[in-house]
This record gives sequence, structure tokens and C-alpha cells, in this order.
Amino acid sequence: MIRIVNLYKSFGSNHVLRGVDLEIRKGETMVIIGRSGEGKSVLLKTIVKLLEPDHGEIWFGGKNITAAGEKEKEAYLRRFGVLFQGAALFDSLSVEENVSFGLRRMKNLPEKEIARIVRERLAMVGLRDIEGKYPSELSGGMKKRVALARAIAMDPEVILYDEPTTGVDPIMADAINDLILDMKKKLSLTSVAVTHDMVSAYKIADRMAMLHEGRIVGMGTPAQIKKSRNPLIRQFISGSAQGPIRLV
Amino acid sequence: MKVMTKISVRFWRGFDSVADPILKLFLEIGNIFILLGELLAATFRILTCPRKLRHFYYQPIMEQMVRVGVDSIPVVLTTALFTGMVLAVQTGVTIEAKIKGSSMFIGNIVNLALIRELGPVLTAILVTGRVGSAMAAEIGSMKITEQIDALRTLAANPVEYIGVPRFLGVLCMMPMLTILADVLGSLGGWLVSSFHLGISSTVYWDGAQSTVGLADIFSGLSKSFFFAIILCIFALHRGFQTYGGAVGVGRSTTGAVVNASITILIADYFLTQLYALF
Repeated sequence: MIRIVNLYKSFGSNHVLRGVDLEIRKGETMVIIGRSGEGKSVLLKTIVKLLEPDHGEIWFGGKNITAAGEKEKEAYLRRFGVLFQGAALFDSLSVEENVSFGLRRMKNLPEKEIARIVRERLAMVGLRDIEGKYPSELSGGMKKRVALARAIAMDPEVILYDEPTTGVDPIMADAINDLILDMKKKLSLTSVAVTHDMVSAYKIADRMAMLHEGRIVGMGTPAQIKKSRNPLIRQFISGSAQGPIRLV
Repeated sequence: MKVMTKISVRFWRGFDSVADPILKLFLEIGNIFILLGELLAATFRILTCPRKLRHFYYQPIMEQMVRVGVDSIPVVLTTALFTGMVLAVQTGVTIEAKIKGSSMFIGNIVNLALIRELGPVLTAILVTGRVGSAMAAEIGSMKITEQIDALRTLAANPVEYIGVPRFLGVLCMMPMLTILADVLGSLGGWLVSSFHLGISSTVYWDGAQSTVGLADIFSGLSKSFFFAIILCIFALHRGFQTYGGAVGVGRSTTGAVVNASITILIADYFLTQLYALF
């Protein structure tokens, strides 16, 4: 469904992505693991065209998206939902306005229908009667769930999760993992998650890929990753400070 | 040979250290003009689409008008009143000391200075400090908390959604505030000249009326339009360029206020020269 070919991205002299090759199949959950600062979020933002790659191609459903024009880009974006690391809810808007933001702008629906979709999506993430609240009145976990409701409000085909369990307690992290699995089942979504939380990665992944020094250094199912003999993967999944990955 | 290489390396290093900031400056100026173009195009798109304007932008534009205009009234009025008073004291005392009886021209001097220069410039600087800083900080915070990225993923253009209501708010309210500043400054001048310098009200207002023409009022108000554009573009530019957490927000806020204030003062000189031609 999504094919990333030889992707490069630099910020000045900082070469973040140095030839990433990755294929994400329809309906699967691909989890990209790697140390903080390895470019996982940059890769995610490049997929959704928030950042333009310096070199390389991104193919989506047989189309080269890197060469797409403005209109094609807009149509492409409508097929994605993104859950940002810090939820990225709009502070000045209520929960209802946040969740319905895309619906109001892109779909010409009557207000009753919008209200129904908002209620339904909030219920899917386990929230009720909070439509009138503002992001500042919500806990970290609730913000993430509202952001997830916003991401799925437009019925996307692909959902991107940027560190979905960062900044929440372990119980809430597990609840978010369950939600990700639930979303996949109910909405038949293709998902891409980046995380360094191995508990979460093992739970939600169909396949995992490790990003190190701007390249994918290993890929496989959670079981294959656990058995991997690649010293980089072994060090990362065991969480050891000793090994080929140097602390900077 | 070695000596020549060393000289050459030093020369290019020296050249780089001079050229780099100049290139960066041109890049910044280019980015500002690109943003201005995007902002004007987005404003045109919204104003020519009544459905969009009514459904998505009417409320935010009104909110910005209140934040820029109504909320700035106390600070603008106080400053204008006391500026008019100080101007009258300084001018009255100085010219009277030089030429006996010349303080009767105080109405002409105070009002002309206020309407042509001090009203628009002081208002613009005050609004830049109050509104421009808040605008840059707010947009900067949105940038570092990925709200701007979230807008893009929801197919909303950040310049349109964030920039246009603020731009229209400032563009409409700056001339209104300037008019209020002119009126209060003039009243301040009248208070001092009547009660402190002993000049009759008729002399003060007659002086004002005989000197200040429509062209002066137009010149002052049109300046305030240009200042509104300058304020807005610097605040938006610095806000959208924010990086590096809370420190970055602080840097953007300071940068927006300093750059906009300096540009307003420079633009004032050139606009004055331009109007002098007509």
C-alpha cells in the first residue's frame, strides 16, 4: 500500500534519513522502532507530506506521491489520519470543534450528522459527554484519545501514530494500545506507528522495522524481532547501554 | 605555495563570514514577501467566498477585532492623551521662550504633529508591543506543539486559518485606534494649552482647523494601514518560523516586536517622503 524507496532527508548538516526503504502492506500495523532522535517522526512527517524529502520516492496505491501536485496532495492527505506525539489538539477549540474540524471543512454535512459522527467517534475511543470541554481541561490520556477520535473522524485508510504511548501512565498506555488494535479491527485501517516503547510495539505490531542512523537495519514480525541476531536490534530491544549503538 | 594556500583559505573564510549573514538576510526578506503574497491571496479567497467567510471566518475575525481593537483602547488612549499633553508643554514653553506670543500657534503644531506622525506611529508601536508579541507567541506555541502540522493534515491552510483573521483584525482596527489616538492627543494638547499655558480654546481649535487638512488626515490613516501590514507580517513570520521549545517562543516574540517596530519607524520616514511629493 505504501512503498518508501531510498528516502533521504537532511536538516542543514544533520543527515536524518539516509536511504530508507520500507514497504507497508494494506491492513497491517507496521511499527517503526529506534532510539530518540533517529528520525522516526521525520519519516512519519515525510510520509504525510509535512516534510518534503531531499531524495527518494513515496508510492501510495501505485502512485508516486513525491511528484504529486497540490490537488493530488490534498486528496492524498484526506486518506490519512495522524495522531501526534503531544496530541496537538487546537487549544482554542472545544473537543467537539476539534473532532469535527476536518468534517466541517471537507465534507458538506448537516450539523446533526456532524454531531452524530463526533459522538460516535468519541464513544469509539471510550469518551462520552465531553464535547463542550477544552483541551486544557483534559488529562494527557484523554487528550490522546480525543486526538485519535479527530484522526479517525474523516474515515481515513491509513493512520499514523507518532509515539502513541509517550507521556501517559502504563495503564493508560495499555488502554491506548487496545484502542489502536480496536481501531484496526473495526475500521480495517492500515497503521504506521513509531515508538521506542517496546511493550507497546510488541502488542500492536504485525511487523516491526528498526531505524538506525537513517536506515532500516532490520524488519520482521514481533517474534522474529525478538529472536533477531542483529546486534543493533538485540541491544535496542534489551535496552542495554552496552553494545554497538553508541550513546551520544 | 603553502603561504598562498593559507592566504586563500583565510580570504574565503573571511568572505563567508561576511556573505553568510547577508545571504541569510536576503533569504529572510524573500520569505517575508512570499508569506505576504500567500496572506494576501488567502485574504482574497476568503473575502470572495461568502460561505467560507460566514461559516469559518466571521467569528475568528470578530474575536481578533476585539483583541486588537477594543482591548487596546485603554493603553492607546492613555498614551495618546499624555503624549498630546507633553507635546503641548514642550512646544509651548520652547517657542514662547524664543518668540513672545508664538505659543498661540500651539494648536497648529500639536495637531499637525499628532495627525501626521505621532498618532499613527505611537499607535502602531503600542499595538505591536501588545498584539504583535501575543500573536507571535501564540503561533509559536502552536508550531512547537505540532498544532500547525495538525492543521495541514486536516487539509487546512495555516496561513488562511491562522493568518487571515489576525490580518483582517489588525488591518481594520489599527486605523480606528489611530483616530482615537489623534482625538485624545489633541484633547491632551488642548488641556495643557488652556489650563497651563493660558491659551484660549478658540485660538487652539482655530489653529488646529486652519493647519490640519484632509490630506494630513489621509496621510496619517494610510500610514496606519501600512503599519498594520508590517506588524502582522512580522508577527506571523516569526510565529511560523518558531523552533526550539519555550526558548524559541521567547525568541520569536522578541524578534517579531523588535523587527516590526524598527520597520515601522523606517517605513514612516519613507512614507512621509513619498507623501511630500504630492
